[in-house]
Amino acid sequence: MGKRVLVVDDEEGIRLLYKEELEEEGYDVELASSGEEALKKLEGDHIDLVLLDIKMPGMDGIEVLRKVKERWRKLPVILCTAFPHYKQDFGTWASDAYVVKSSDLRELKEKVKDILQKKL
Amino acid sequence: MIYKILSKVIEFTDSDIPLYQRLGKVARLIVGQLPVDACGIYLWEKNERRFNRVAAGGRRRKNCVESYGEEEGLAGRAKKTGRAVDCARKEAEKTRWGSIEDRGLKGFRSAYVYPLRDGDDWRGILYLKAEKNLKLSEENKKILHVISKQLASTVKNEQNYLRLKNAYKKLNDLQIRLMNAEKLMAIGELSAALAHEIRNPLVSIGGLASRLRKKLEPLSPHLHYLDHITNSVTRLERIINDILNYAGKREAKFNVGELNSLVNESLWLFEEACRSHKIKVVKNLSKAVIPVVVDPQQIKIAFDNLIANAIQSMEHGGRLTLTTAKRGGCGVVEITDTGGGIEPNIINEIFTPFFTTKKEGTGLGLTITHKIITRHKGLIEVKNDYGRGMTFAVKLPFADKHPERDGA
Ligand SMILES: Nc1ncnc2c1ncn2[C@@H]1O[C@H](COP(=O)(O)OP(=O)(O)O)[C@@H](O)[C@H]1O
Ligand SMILES: [Mg+2]
Repeated sequence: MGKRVLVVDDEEGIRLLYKEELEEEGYDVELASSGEEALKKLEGDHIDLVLLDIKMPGMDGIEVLRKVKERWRKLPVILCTAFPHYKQDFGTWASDAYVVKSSDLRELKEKVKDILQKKL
Repeated sequence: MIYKILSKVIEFTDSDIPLYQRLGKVARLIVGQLPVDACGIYLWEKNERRFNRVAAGGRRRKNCVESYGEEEGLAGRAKKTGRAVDCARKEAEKTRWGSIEDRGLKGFRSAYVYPLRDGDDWRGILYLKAEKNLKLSEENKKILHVISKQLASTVKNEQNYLRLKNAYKKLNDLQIRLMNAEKLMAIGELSAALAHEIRNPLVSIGGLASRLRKKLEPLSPHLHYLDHITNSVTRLERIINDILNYAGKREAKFNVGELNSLVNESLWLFEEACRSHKIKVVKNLSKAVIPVVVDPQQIKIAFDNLIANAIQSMEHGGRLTLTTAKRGGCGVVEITDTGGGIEPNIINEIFTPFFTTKKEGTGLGLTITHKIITRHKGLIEVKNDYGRGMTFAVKLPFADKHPERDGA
């Protein structure tokens, strides 16, 4: 069975892009357009990895990250952001990886692969 | 006659030409109207404590001594007594009048000196000399008194004007510096907005264009549309990376570096570009090592930007000169090109974020460079020789406590 990845991003184009590209890599992909929706999805389904956008209206990524790690301590989360400086900010420390968004998805796919393999 | 001279003096002193030219006209007017052979106007230099000649008229104007010390000659006499010297008469060959020695008296029999001052404020003197034995009429002396008053107030106005102008310029400079600082702060905030608002849609555009590429036949005639999209997106992403990487809040890591080798390392990157653009590189590097406090990573970005700009300004070849030197407690690098410089009316814009005159420019090179140099507590200066070329000078503080450091 394929691994399940949850993509959380408020931008529809990005959700579409990630979904298709990751499905091509052989993962099952779930989508959420906000932090609230993501937490709901996590309650219901089994998820192996979360791709989390930092800046979203409503609950932002850092807050979602904290909630996720409180409840599902082992669930890996990759923070995706447009803004490289978050890398040094405390608050992101709890994530398993950190990717600066780019139209070139190679780095992202590699990190997803690495993390899911490590988990095995 | 009185009226005629005085109205001329007022006309001359009120005119718009530079001060020394106005004084020159008055000096010539005086020798034209009075039976004197030389008329010198001297201004009091407070700092030097001297009277310096700034204008002279008459057949023998060359015999007006260039400068008098505070206690020297008849000028010193007028300064000491606070009154006009009226008049010194003597033998022509001597340079002495009574107990006073004055080089300027040689070849003259008579001399008059009028103070230019208002109250206790000295502005200068008016010095008249005649070859003959001359006794000025009371009327002429009155005229000279009035002229002296007029000259004193002209000089005073000019000095006040210069002081004001200076103060205004300082204020103006300060304002420009503040504005630049604000712009640089703004770019930090702007960069956050840019990152979120532009990078996200770019990821969609570029990423989905790649997906489309995968769906098209490998030889599809429509692929070149996607090439354009992908190229543009890549370029925009590069711009955003530029902004975020350098304008952001990355902490600098300062160390002692050596200026000549830093310059060489930057230059090395561009050797090929110089060759292909037919640019001759002249290295004018200091023989002594120049230790400076730098974040080598960042300072090289700054040098890279300056060298890149210089090369880009010389599309059809030219000369790139790199000079390093120690100067006044600083290490200095000068990067000079022969690319024609920039139109003077837009020179003030070049450090403004996004200002560019290039088709493919980002307009961030100099903004980032300025920011980096400022972080180093250094200075960047521009010399624009429009039509010829440009020089960017970067000054960086010496490394303290370094054994090579010269002076104290
Ligand atoms: N060496 C130079 N000679 C002439 N013009 C220059 C030079 N360096 C910079 N400029 C001017 O300053 C502008 C801004 O430079 P920069 O900030 O590096 O951005 P960019 O190089 O992307 O245009 C340039 O577009 C150019 O007009
Ligand atoms: Mg540039």
